[in-house]
Amino acid sequence: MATRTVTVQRPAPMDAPQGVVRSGAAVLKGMWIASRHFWRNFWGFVRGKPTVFTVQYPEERLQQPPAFRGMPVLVQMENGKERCVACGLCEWACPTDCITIYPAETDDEIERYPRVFDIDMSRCMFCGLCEEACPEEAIVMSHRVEIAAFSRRGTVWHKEDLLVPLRELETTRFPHIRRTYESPAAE
Amino acid sequence: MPNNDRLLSIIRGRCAEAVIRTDDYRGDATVVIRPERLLEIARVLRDDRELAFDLLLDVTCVDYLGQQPRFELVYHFYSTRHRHRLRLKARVPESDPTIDSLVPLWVGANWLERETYDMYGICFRGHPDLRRIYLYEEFEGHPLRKDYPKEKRQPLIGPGSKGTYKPRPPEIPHAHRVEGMLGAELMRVQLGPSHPATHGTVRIVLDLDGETIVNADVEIGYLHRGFEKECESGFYYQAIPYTDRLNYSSAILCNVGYCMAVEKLFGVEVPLRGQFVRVIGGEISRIADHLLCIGATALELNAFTPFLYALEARELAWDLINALCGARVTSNFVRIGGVSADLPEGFAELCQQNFKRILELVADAEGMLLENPVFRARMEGVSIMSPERLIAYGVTGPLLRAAGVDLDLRRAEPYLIYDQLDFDVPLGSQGDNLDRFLVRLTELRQSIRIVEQCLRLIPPGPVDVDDPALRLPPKGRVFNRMEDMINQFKLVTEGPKPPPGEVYFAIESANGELGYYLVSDGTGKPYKCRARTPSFSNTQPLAEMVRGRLLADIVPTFDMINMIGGECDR
Amino acid sequence: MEMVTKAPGSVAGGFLARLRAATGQPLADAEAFGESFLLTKLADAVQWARKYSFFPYPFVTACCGMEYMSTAGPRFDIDRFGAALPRFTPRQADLLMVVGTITHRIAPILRRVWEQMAEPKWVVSFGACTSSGGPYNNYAVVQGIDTIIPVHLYIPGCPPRPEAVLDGLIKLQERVQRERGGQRIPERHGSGRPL
Repeated sequence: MATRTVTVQRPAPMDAPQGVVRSGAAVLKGMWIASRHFWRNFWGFVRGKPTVFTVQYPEERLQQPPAFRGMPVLVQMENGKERCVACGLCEWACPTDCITIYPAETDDEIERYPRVFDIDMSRCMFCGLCEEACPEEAIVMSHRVEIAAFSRRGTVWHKEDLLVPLRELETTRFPHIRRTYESPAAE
Repeated sequence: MPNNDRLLSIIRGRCAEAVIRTDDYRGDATVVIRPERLLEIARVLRDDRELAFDLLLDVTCVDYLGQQPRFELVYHFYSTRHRHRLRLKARVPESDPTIDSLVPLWVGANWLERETYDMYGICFRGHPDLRRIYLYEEFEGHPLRKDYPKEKRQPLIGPGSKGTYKPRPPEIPHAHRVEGMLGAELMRVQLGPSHPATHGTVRIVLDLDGETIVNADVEIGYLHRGFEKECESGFYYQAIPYTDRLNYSSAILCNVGYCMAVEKLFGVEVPLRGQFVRVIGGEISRIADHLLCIGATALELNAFTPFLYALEARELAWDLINALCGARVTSNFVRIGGVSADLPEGFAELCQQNFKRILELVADAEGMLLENPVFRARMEGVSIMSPERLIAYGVTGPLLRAAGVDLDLRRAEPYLIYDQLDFDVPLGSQGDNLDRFLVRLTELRQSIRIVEQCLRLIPPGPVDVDDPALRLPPKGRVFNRMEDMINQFKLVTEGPKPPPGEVYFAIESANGELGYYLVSDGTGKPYKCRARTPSFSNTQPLAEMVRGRLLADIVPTFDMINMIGGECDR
Repeated sequence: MEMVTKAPGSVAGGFLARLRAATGQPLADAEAFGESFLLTKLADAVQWARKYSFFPYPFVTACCGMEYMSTAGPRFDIDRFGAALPRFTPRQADLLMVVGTITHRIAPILRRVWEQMAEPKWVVSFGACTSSGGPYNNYAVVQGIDTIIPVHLYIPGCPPRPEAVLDGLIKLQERVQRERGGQRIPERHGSGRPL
């Protein structure tokens, strides 16, 4: 067994009189640590290479990885229509039942489409199980999270609100999903 | 692996006439007993030298509606000396759901039995204080019974609803009530449920004599949100996001425990690379959890700067989780039969870079705290409890290790690939709050070491089990092959269907033993999904730890227990 | 539930009324002038001051608290929006942030905290559980805090990212700025389109 137990080293007790000296030293040490953070950031600011951890939202945003899970959206194809065929798998998979689909049929090449596709964002827990269940790559997790609203009605997203052009998603979440195609498990 | 046959034959030998049946399914030893003999057998289990089951992990119940007798009490035991486990079961009828209480033997059975009473209406004979723990007194019925509809809500009792709301003066039912030293009346103080110094919703009702705590009653349940009921109403895979929300500061560990329990039901094992990825994710989660604990402790002891450093370090740990699975807090990363995605490109470099900064920040926070006289005075020698007493309470994890007990499931019963890794398990020497703090600090550094080793050792290969019965086929195949498309539909609409049976599987989470007890009836939904959560058992001794101490000692003690609301109240 | 916050215009109106009572003169012209220009500017200034100095009361119960800490922490620093100083007594706070699941057991406590806050006050529903009950649709969880107290802003997410929270805060600031004289706030969908 490669694990072993160690007993943690307790710092020496702070008894007087050394304790008094060490307490004073501890205060100085604390000031030193805090001021080091300050000077580091200040020096970065002076050199024009900021090291400050703070993100100046909304002017500045974090670079998000492809795996980022924001709100689920519907993929919009070049012809402006949704890719969804209203099979209802995402509705099944959703643990919170926040998706509502009414399917309908048309004369297009893909004959089934969702007449109604609503997601109640105030219930959605952004887990991504809908995306995983979808057999058409039609519902994906986007990079959008800024969706606060003033009323409950404003948090229910209809099909028109949910459609996002394929182009935008190609650069965000798709690289993450498509990675699994080439993963060794796909052999 | 301990020898279950030997264990079961010893038990059969010791109390032959009380045992109805024994079995050994998937490595879990089970003994079914006559309910009226429970106390007697439990005493043998605890006191026999060869059995020595000193840790009562869990008490729960399964409702077999329509069968006679209807309720099955389930007890899980662990022996810290022999490192073996046992499940004890006894059935009681619906007409008289009564069984002996185990509180005389394990003091930690108190809350567990109260919970079982609350959720199933089982009465425990000889329990000192049998009242509801999660729900309120006015609640009618027992929600985890199968005939209680999941969405049946009861009227809100309070000023926001109809009816008059009168805050009831809480009563402290304690046997050890001490009269005030000066003969003066004790002062009753309520700490919580929304208190700035307790990161979690808990109410502590205190009787104070001056500033000394004479009596304390810890009231939990303000965050009870029906984890078990939600899991039982969905498919196996739909429970994974709910496990995130158990211990939300280390969600991946909770995922790992649940998925491994389901895999144990199936009897499958994840490919090696998948196991590595799980360990990496889990350990990063553990880092985030310990950072939160350290930072929150500093904050609540009024040290704001180390809190900011810890938060900054936690952001960096979360960046790694974000790169791994796209979420920061509720990761939903692990899947039954694998993980949701393999490591992203450049993950090792990102880890290296972030760990370097995390270690710097932790060193800064540590440097500010450990020599600080105020911090030391509030941590050193505070809330010491003997290891035996902690074990009787069912405490596990850093809290128990700080008292010097070598119990880390990663070492005691290595799961995943922990037996191939090289790490230290820190132990404390005195068991006070300072030791607890130091144990967490050391564990954090060890977790970083584990992740670095994993990144070095990780083999190529698949991360998922290629079995359509439990893991969705890869997307690329779903688009191109009819067979996989059908598998996808089948798995999503029917759920993975493990064979009937029951298992208990535990991992070492950031706060201690996190176990899942699953009962499968062969359908796609778990018949019973029980989480044995460490925070619940760890919070229980709080009242005893602070009794006789000063009011101010509650805060550091509560912080070092690191009670996580979602995990404690489920 | 009607969500009209007491307008600062009426505060200044009270001042005018007192002025009229003191001088005993009809102030019709001044009143008209004041209502049209001076008072609206004053009201704007008051609302401007309010929106940049929220005193939040974080009612933290669950997972969302992790992201709340993060929002208040070094990276996202809610202080840049003037809402950093959490007041842990409702009497000093004007922004109630309900962070985390509200169960039936804690609902009366939330209601009481809200009742103790002085006007004007705003309520932010932080995360899915508070907005609608979220993933927990069962016997124990309140299905949205708007069933017990009025809510001015819903931030979806489980838990919402700090970016989403800051965006919500900016939206709330806009709302507060417009909130004058009890006029209705134009509704907006989460995507930005009018409702």
